[in-house]
Amino acid sequence: MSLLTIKNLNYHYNANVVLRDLHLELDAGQIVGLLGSNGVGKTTLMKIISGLLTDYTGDVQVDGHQIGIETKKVVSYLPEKTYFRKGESIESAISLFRDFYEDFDEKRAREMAADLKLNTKQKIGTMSKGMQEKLQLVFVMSRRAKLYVLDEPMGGVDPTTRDYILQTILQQYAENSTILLSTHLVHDVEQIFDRVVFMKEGKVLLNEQVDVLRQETGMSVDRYFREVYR
Amino acid sequence: MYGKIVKHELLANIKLYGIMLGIGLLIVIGLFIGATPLNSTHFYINAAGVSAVILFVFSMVTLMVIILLHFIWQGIRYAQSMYGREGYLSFTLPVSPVELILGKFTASVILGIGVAVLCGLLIFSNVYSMMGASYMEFGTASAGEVWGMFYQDIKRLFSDPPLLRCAISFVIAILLRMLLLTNYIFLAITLANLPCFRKGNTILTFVFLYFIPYIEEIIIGVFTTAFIFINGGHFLRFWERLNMAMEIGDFSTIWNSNFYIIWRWNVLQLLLVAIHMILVIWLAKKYTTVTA
Repeated sequence: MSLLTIKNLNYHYNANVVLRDLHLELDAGQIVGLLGSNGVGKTTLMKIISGLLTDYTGDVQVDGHQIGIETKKVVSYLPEKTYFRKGESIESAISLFRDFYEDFDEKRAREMAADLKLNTKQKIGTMSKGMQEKLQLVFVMSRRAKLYVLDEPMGGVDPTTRDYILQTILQQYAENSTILLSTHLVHDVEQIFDRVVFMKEGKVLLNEQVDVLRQETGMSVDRYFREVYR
Repeated sequence: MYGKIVKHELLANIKLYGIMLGIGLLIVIGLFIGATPLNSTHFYINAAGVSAVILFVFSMVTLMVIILLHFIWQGIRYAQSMYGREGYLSFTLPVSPVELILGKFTASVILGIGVAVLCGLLIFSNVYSMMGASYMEFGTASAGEVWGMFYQDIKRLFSDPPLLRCAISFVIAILLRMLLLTNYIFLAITLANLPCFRKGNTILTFVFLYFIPYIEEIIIGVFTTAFIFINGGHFLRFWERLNMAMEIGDFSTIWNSNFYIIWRWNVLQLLLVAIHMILVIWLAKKYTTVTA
């Protein structure tokens, strides 16, 4: 059974059609790159999978469940923006995750926060933007989720932070879980992808294993991406 | 999960409300202490009297600021936690919209009750302070004597069952009004953040906050008029009885009549709270959208 199954997904707001008749199936245990130019609907798709947008039509299932409480238990979502309350301390964020997510590994989160040399009593609002993004990634990856949905985790960060993020994703990634990661930095990240999904005009243009793609096209994912979206 | 939502929402508010309640309680204590050391027959022109008047004005201003701050802050918190950046977390928590919204509403109600109790204490301590001063007009009295006289007066006043019943229903009416106001704020924010209104959310919130109660008042007015028209005889007799009671000073009838009116108003307010909550939950469930 697929971990993620999407059939006939349509989404629009006002007169703008964002997703049209989208189909996608992803199995467990792989790192999937969700690629496409700006405005093709990557963030919208991720929001729908995470349960943030509900006014769509079509069928979206994660681990055999329609989007809802059951899927939110197994999906760990990293949005583009930081979502913690500014006045919240790391300790209270840990308490929040512990209370709501059964799969939250508190020990791991504390270890990762310590690696970042963060004091758990520190208020999140007093941290730099980059540090807040790292901390959010720490929380998202500290869950033993079945599906990680990471929206542009490396967008607008310096190369050192980018390395930290990639390293964290790879270290915390469990074999039986799937990561769906959107990025524009295809060249920097393509070595970690098992599969790539190309989106264009609200549809899935391509859903292929990276090895097969490289073999069939004779190009790197980054090069092929540039060819497609030229 | 509902309990956890309430817990974390209360924790998110604890600092501001701690400061607010702390300041309020200090004023209450000040008023209680200020009422006892007075021993002048010319209370209003001595230093203690002047400071008591200043404390009274200050406490009334504090009361209004606290109430205003409570509602403004509840609006900000709700908008931020549901439709601001925090919404990315709120809506991805494994809880149903019913638990999420009811949890936030419950936390707001608990904080509102805290504010209401503080306001009640401020009013009570002012009444005590003023009555304490009036007892001094007849000569010096110790703190214990002032308290004793005050207690006897209050006891005498509320020994009248119709008045007590009326007072209790009035307190309930105020608490329900607070619930309804919070409710209006939640509903206005939810409507202003529907997918069709992605821009100008703040202005739209104020527009909805003004027009929803306005429209509801018109609807209630129409229904009330129709009801009075249908039951004309009954209402005419009610007002005649009340006017007569006022003329002859029949306080028992006056309080009973007021109780009759306030109680119906309470039922109506409760009904509106329920309708608004159902609407807010339905809209949030159907059109979940974070615009930040």
